Amino acid sequence: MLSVTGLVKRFESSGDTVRVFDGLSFSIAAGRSLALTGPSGSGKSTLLNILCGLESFDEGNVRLLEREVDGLPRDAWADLRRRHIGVVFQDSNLMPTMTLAENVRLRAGLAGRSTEGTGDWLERLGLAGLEQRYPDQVSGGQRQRAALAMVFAMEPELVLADEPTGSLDRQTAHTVADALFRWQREVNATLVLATHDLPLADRCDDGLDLAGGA
Amino acid sequence: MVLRAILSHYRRHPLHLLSLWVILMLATALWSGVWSLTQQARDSMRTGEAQLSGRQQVVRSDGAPVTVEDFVTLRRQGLCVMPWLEVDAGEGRGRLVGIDPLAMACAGNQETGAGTSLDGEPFVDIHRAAKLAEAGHRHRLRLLLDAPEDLSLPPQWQRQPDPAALSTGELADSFLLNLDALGVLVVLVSALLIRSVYTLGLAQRREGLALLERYGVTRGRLQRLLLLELLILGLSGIVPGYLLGQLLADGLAGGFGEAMGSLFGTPLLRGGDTFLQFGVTAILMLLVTFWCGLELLRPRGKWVTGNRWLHVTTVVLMMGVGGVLVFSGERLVAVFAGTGMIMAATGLATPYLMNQWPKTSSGTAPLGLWRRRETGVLIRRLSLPLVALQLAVATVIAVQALVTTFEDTFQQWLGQRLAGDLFVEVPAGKRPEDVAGILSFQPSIVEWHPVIRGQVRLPLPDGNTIALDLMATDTGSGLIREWELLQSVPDPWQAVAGGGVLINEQLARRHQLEPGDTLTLQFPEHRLSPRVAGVYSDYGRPAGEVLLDHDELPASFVPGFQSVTIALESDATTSDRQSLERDLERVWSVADIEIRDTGTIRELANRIFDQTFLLTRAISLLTLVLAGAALLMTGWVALASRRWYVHLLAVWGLRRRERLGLLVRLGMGLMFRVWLAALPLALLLTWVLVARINPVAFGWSLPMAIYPGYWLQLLVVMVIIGLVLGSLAARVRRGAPVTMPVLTEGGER
Repeated sequence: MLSVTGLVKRFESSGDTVRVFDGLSFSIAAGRSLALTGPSGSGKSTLLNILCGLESFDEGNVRLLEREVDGLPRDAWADLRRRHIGVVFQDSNLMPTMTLAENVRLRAGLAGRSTEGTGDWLERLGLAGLEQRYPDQVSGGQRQRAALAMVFAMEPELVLADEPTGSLDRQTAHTVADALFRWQREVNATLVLATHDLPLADRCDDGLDLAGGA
Repeated sequence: MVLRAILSHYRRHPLHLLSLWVILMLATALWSGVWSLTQQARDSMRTGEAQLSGRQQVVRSDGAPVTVEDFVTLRRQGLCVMPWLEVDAGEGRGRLVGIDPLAMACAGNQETGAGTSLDGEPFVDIHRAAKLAEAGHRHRLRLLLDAPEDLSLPPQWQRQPDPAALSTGELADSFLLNLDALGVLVVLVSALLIRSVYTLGLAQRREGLALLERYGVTRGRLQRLLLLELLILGLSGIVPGYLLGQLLADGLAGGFGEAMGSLFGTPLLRGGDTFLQFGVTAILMLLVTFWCGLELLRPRGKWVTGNRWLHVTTVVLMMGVGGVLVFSGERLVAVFAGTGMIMAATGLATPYLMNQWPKTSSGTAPLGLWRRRETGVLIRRLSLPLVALQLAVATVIAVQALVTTFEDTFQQWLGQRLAGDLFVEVPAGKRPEDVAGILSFQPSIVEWHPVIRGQVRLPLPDGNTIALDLMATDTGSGLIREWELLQSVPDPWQAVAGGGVLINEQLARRHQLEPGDTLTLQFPEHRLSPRVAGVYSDYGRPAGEVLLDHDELPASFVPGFQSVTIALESDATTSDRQSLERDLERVWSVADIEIRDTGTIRELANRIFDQTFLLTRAISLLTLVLAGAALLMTGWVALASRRWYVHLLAVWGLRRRERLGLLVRLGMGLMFRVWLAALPLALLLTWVLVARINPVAFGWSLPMAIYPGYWLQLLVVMVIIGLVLGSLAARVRRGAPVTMPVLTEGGER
């Protein structure tokens, strides 16, 4: 499903070259989950951005969804994200001008999926009755569950989650993580999850510690 | 240290600082430029009126132009005669007026003679003007007389009213009040823009300011420092803005001065009290700047106020009171105040109304919904610059409609008034009838008619009388009968030939006269009571006028000015014209008469027309440019604060071209709404200008005409602004790192 070989990523910072990854290699099979751990600045978010085409890399090889992505045009990357890759950030995953239901419909519609059953996803995630609320009218945990509903509604093969529970209290984080892992197993999707939260990382099938570069 | 922390906002957002500074500078330049010109115009008129009021001019009884010898002879006879030599300075520099300080002193104008009030251009010492005249520059010498009415002149000379001494007060005041109103509009639009840019920045800084408060900096100290920042910013924009305004005034002074001279016979005196002008400009613009900072003084938690019912009540009240003032106000100030209230109420209502469209419009496509909702956010965030642009667009449309309607009407009117080919001034002491034989039998002449002008008095119900201009002519002439009348009795020309009169629109409006009414005209030894047969339009001057057949004039009537209008055969040659000139000189026994082409006069009139509206057009267009540029800048800042959500769309798989298209459509849609919202206001303003302000200010109205072609031109400009706005917003996202929004920056819906 996903394999990374000899990945090198460099940044220019104040005239110095910083190597975030210097030959990073790993792979993950379809339907498995991988936890990316490491301190702040170790490159967790950068790696997720590379895996969904929002950032480029300097050297190495990335194979994703049965295709080589090196040199893939931006538009082709956009098509991949639109239909096959779901992305969840720590916060601000929703359009503030649209209700929870409209957000889910927008994401499903962009992926070419049916927008009929969006209410079901919200209901399954415990958000029944909140469909017509705007993101600023619900709690942080409810917003993250709505973000998951958006991803679930687009039915992706790969989910990239960047600190999805980072801004939530322990109980809410637990609820959100439960929903994510339950769905991932149900549909046999592949999950790559960046987190500081070690118990959450332990729930993944595999782990990759990016401390000190790889 | 705290000040440095506060100012660090501008290090992160230099565009924000630049926007504020540029808008403040341009607004200062526009306002101070206009104000400087209108102040100079007011000073000029005041000086001109003070110098010339009640004066008469001396003309030769034989009709020849007065000369220096006439001046010397009259002075030697002890008469207080003052030379006034007007010379065309050439190269578009307007005219100079040569005066003799010693001669002016005889009329008690020692002060003037010392050069305190008629100092500087266009007034110069007569020797300098004479040198230009001798060098071949076009010139005209007049001799002004300051002597009692009963003092008789030697028989070779006669008195005549000095045309420059006619009172133009009301018309001039109205003319300048129009410019003042335009200046106020500039300040209003600028204030909206500056406030919007500043408050947009303030919203971005609120987190940082709150942090400083948590670190122990008191709210009072923060407010003082922010006010200091505004003061520094204000002064740094006002000083160069004022200098730029003076350059603008200098650039427009030539055309403006020419218009003043043509309309009111008053040349523009340059100069003025620089200290006062800068002082007033600085105080006004600082007030505008501090008004922007009022947000700072609100108690915590009350950054945004909004009581819908209060809002609606205010709008309705302002609309109502404004409407009453506009529809029934009898003074110009009341009409302007009413118009201002309607514009302000429209400004308050527009963001709300514009926001209803995104809410109510149908369409279920998710991206369409996103675009409409984002448009709603931008309308709220950019409400002030959007309203400023709406007001500017409406004003530009209304001014364009007024000027174009006036131009068309004026052309038509001029065509009727100057229907013939030649215009001949009858020399003083001569009569048009003297040449009737020649004109009637010249084969090259198709038609001719005399025009006799003078004054008559109109008795008022209170027992007083007022002066009216009088025009007498051969009302059977085909050239005259081409005049279009605004109102008339059936067969009006027949009625005039039978002793009726036509009156101009100014007179009809001022004294509520209509066709069929009877009018009393009081001549020195005679009284006429003709019926009003019709009302004609009469543009460009304030006085009431009555037109009657020359056969109806009492024998004792003393004309002020006489001319003959002649229409030639289409195949008339130059030699026909020269022969006519010789015949007229022979019959009138004068050495030199001037025959002028009506085409040349029409050209001159058109040039004066263009100059008259040059300033109005320039200011309204510059205001539009300012508002457009400001909206572009603020829109860019506002869209940049939403770039996380555009980034989300990229994460969700929208291609770059799709995102660009989405943002461009958003920008263009926003501008389309502003354009649409400006149209009703533009129509109202057009109507107010032609049907209310013009009649109240100048005494004549204009037909209401609209020019949709021009609207479409403006729409294209607006759409281009939207296109640039959308493209810029898309460009911001590509280059800059994208961070998640904090609530105050982009999180609102």
